[in-house]
Amino acid sequence: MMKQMTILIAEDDDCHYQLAVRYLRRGGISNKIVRFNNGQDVLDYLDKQLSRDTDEVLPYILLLDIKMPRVSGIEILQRIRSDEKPVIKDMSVIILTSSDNPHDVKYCYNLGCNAYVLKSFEREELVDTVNWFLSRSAQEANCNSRQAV
Amino acid sequence: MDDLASLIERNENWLIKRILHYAKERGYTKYTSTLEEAWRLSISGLSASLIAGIKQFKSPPDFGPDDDLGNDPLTSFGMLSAQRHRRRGVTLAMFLGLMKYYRQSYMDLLYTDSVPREELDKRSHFLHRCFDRIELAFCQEWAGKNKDAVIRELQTASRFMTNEKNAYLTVFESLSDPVIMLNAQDEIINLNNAAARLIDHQPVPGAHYYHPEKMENPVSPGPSVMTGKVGKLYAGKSVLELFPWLSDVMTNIRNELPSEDRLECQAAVEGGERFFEVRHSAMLDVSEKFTATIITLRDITSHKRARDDREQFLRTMSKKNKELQSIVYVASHDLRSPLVNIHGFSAILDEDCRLLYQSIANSDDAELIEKIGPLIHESIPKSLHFIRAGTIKMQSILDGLLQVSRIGTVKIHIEPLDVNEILGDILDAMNFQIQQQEIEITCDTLPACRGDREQINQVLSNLIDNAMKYRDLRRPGHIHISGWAEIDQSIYCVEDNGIGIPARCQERIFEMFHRLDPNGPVRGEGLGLSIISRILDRNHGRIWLESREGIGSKFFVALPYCRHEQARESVQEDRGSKGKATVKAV
Repeated sequence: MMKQMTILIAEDDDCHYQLAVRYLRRGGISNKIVRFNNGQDVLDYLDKQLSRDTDEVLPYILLLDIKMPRVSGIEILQRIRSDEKPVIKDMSVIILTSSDNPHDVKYCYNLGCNAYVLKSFEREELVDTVNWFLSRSAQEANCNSRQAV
Repeated sequence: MDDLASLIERNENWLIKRILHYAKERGYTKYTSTLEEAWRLSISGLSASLIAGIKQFKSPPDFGPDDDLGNDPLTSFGMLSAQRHRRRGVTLAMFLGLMKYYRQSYMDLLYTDSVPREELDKRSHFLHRCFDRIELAFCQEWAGKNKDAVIRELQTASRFMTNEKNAYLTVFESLSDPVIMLNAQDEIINLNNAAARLIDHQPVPGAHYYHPEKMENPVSPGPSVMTGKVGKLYAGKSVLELFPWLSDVMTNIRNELPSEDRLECQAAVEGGERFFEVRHSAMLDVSEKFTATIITLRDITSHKRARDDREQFLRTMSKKNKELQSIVYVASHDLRSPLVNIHGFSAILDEDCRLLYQSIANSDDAELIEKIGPLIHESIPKSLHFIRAGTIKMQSILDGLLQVSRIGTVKIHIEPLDVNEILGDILDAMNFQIQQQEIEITCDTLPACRGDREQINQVLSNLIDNAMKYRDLRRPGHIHISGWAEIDQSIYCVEDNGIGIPARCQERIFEMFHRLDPNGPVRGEGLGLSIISRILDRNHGRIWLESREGIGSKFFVALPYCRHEQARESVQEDRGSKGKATVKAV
């Protein structure tokens, strides 16, 4: 049975979050969605999940807003990419933000984000992007499971 | 003896220095002039008569008991000198004594010229006879006048001197700027009326000079004159006692520093607080009798107030400007977030309408379909379409505003720019559009300039983008970019054969949000030219245009000039580190 990716969404604006969820669901994505309204909670959640010490560690995909209270999305991205555990270090991170400043875009890519989606996006943009990462992760999972066998 | 004459003529400055040296050494400077010009006149007068004498007499001008003196340049000079100096009250011993040292000075000059001994002796003999002749005539003239005539002469001269002195004293007292004279111990020797007014609300002009109690005035010899009202006595007082606020300039004077250009002092004086620009200078006295320092003050109170007001105004303006910038930034930034919601949920509503319509379409209830159908299928979706269009428009405007405000705040880096290279990058990036619209773009070789690379790139991009947007669709589009260098500017021209701009609009096109035809087919928010305008403000450039409706437009941009070589060096350094960035025009 293929492991299903959990979609993490770090977004402090309620309306934006509700919009994203509706888009994903209407776009046919049924994966589990977990919401956080700040970046620190994401990291805490991941630590807790991984400390459960199960074999069943889900791959994650994170939709990350840059502007959040307390800890900014940039810092979260940096900490994810510098984590030792591959589940966290290699997770797919999609930046969701209203800033179209080319410097910000370049900066995020340099830090290792996988995609950069501008608000306001059309439904297709968000759904297609998430689907792309879901399918890639499924392919990787397939390879891994074959190797395991 | 012609060589002798030319030797004397050439060495005026040397002679002045020499006689001054003797005069100081022997104490004659106690009674002589202070300004160098006076000594120059003495030497030049004496030299002129000697040279004239040399020219006239071929051999040493000897004399005898029956000679008629006054018929040659030497003796006439002697007689003139006698008359002049006798009137002034100079004694015979004084004059003749100093004359001996004049003679010595000229003799010393002879020894500076390296000639054979024989020539030296000849010249020396000749010069001695000249001086003897002068002195002879002088003594005869001096002794010639009777006592009464001499006294009358002296009285006339004295009256003249007094008038001169009074004239200059009046000038001193009449000066509108305060002047204070100090001796070497920082004590006040004299101060004029304007200075006295600072510490005495009812000063009497000249009262200080004429004060009966004043000790012997060290400035001019002789007793002080005791007339006029008695004013306060300031002589001998330490300057800082009366003008404590001059401490800064006194420090400079004590440390023998030169007068500062803009030394300002704040003073509490009669009449309130005032600001002065302070300068000091030493007395210009080559005889070194008067070792006073002169302090002059200039009242800059109103000037300073005006200056302070202006600085305050500039500070306020700058602050308000920053506030405005941040308001624009915050507004355009924070407005984006709710727009995202409106835009997004309109799309969701739109989809919900479609789903609703699908579900009622399969219903058997015809009345239901008739009543609800049009609402769900046409009316509501149409409203949503307009809502979406509105949000898209708002987003576009906000993007533009953000871009405009960023120009004022972003860090700018001015450097030499190879504009040909920048243009090349722009045309590469726009290549697809250019091919698609079948526009022909040509360009000449362009001069280099100084500016911020990204921003100048944006200027050219916007201009070319405009030229493409506003083309005349009835004919093939041509855009030509040219440029030339003037004395300190590089001028660039983007010329098109598009629809042109009517004369009545040309002034307004640089305004924010101005659009030539808001309802026409061309997209955009009307910010492109105002962005260019602001960029050029920051880059010390400017923009202007020539345009005719239906014919086309020429946009001219001026930027600070730069030599081509400097720009090429800069390009070579930068290759590799800078990407090709172009920003879309709005």
